[in-house]
Amino acid sequence: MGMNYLVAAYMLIWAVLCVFLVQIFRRQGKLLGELKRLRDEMKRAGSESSTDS
Amino acid sequence: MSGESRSLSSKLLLLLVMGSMPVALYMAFIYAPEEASMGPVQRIFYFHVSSAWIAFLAYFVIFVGSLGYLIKRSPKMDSLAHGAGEVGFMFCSLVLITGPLWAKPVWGLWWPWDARITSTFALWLLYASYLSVRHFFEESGRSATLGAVVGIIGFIDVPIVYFSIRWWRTHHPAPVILGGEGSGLDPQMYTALWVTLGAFLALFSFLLWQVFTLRSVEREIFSIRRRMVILASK
Amino acid sequence: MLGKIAAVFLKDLRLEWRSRETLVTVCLFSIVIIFIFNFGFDPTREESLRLLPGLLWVAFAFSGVWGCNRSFATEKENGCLEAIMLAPMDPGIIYLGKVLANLLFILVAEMVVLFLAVIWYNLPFKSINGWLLLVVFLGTFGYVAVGTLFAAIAVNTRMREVMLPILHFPVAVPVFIAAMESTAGALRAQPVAEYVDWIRLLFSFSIIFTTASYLLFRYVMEE
Repeated sequence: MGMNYLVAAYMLIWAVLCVFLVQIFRRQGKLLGELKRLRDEMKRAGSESSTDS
Repeated sequence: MSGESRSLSSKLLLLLVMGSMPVALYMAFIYAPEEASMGPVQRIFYFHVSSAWIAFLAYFVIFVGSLGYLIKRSPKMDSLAHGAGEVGFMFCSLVLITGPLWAKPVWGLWWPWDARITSTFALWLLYASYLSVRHFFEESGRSATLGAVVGIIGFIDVPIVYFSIRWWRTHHPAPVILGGEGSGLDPQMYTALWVTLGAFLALFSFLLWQVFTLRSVEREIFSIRRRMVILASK
Repeated sequence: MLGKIAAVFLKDLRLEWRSRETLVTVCLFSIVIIFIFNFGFDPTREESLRLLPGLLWVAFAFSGVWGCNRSFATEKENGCLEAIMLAPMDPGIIYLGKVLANLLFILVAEMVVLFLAVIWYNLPFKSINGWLLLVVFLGTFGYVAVGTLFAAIAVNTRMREVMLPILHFPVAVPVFIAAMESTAGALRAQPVAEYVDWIRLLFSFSIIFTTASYLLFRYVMEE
């Protein structure tokens, strides 16, 4: 059991981390898009568009 | 919620992670001396132990967030706890992945039921139960309060679980496991461990920050939706 | 305060007395589990002394889940939980009353199972000694202390029967370890000094988590 095994193990760690990251970024992108859409709709609806929360 | 400051601190944290990770890898692979009996495989140790410490730290963050939420009812505290739950679960999973990867070549077993692996597994289950409460009550809107209760109980339990498993193991003669990681570490190994731990702390903060903002945006969308429903019903 | 706790406790007792559902089901469930395990091990007497502590506590754990769940499920089905919450008292009182009721039901069922286990596994009757009873009492107390709080959470989901063990068993790990170890010691009539630490752990666990759950129960009940 040598260096190759170790490198493979580290690759696995990074793979897990990257999957987690990508998942977060995708969720974030989706949510930010939805937020923008909702805010526009609110504005179009005409009434108070303050979205401070 | 100000978009600029959010992305600025997020970028700073990302820079910190990008800067420290290569150093940690260098320390783990090249700087640290080779362990005599285990060979290169022992170098998993640095990422393994760092993940384990972060996993325990993250449950503490759940506790702080949960307690803060119950006292101040601030949604931010709730996002902090929930975010720490998700990120901590990921780090705890990393520990459970790297553990067997290390154990197999060294001791010939994927899963020696020794004290450390058993208590980490128990911690992983505590994370899973916390996250399942968060998940199941998401729609009813009680996820924050009930999650906080489970998070606090879980945090109180972590040290009790840890020590009871240790005592349990000392009562049973466990398969002899070489010394344990703490004993007789080379000073250079310590340095490498601290550096890796620092890099992992940066990574943890970065991920926590990302999930935290994710939760905040989710909350904002939820409140806008509710307001739109009210508007539509007028 | 004691009077109020007793009121909740007696209410549950009276309810149980009418149907005797919880007692009978908890008891039968434990017996079935032990019966099924018997096929897997077919143990000799010496082996059964080794297996019995684990077996007993697995049976207690699963039937205890059912007992804790029942105490809130019946209230929920009849809409009584909201009514109880209208009573002008600290929600923690309700928690303590429920803990006592659950403790009593599960303990009674456990005594029946313990008695049967001694017969089935051909153990001497004197193996049910005072220390064993203390261990069973403290173990069940610790188990029920967290179980009652979590049952109040799980009752709000559709999958409460599965939700409760998922929530509860990881937290109850110290109870299981300590209870199994000290039950083994007591069944073999070892000197108490050898497992008294586990009894201390069970005692501390019960105290810590009863206090914490008492304080947190109001948040679970708020709507």
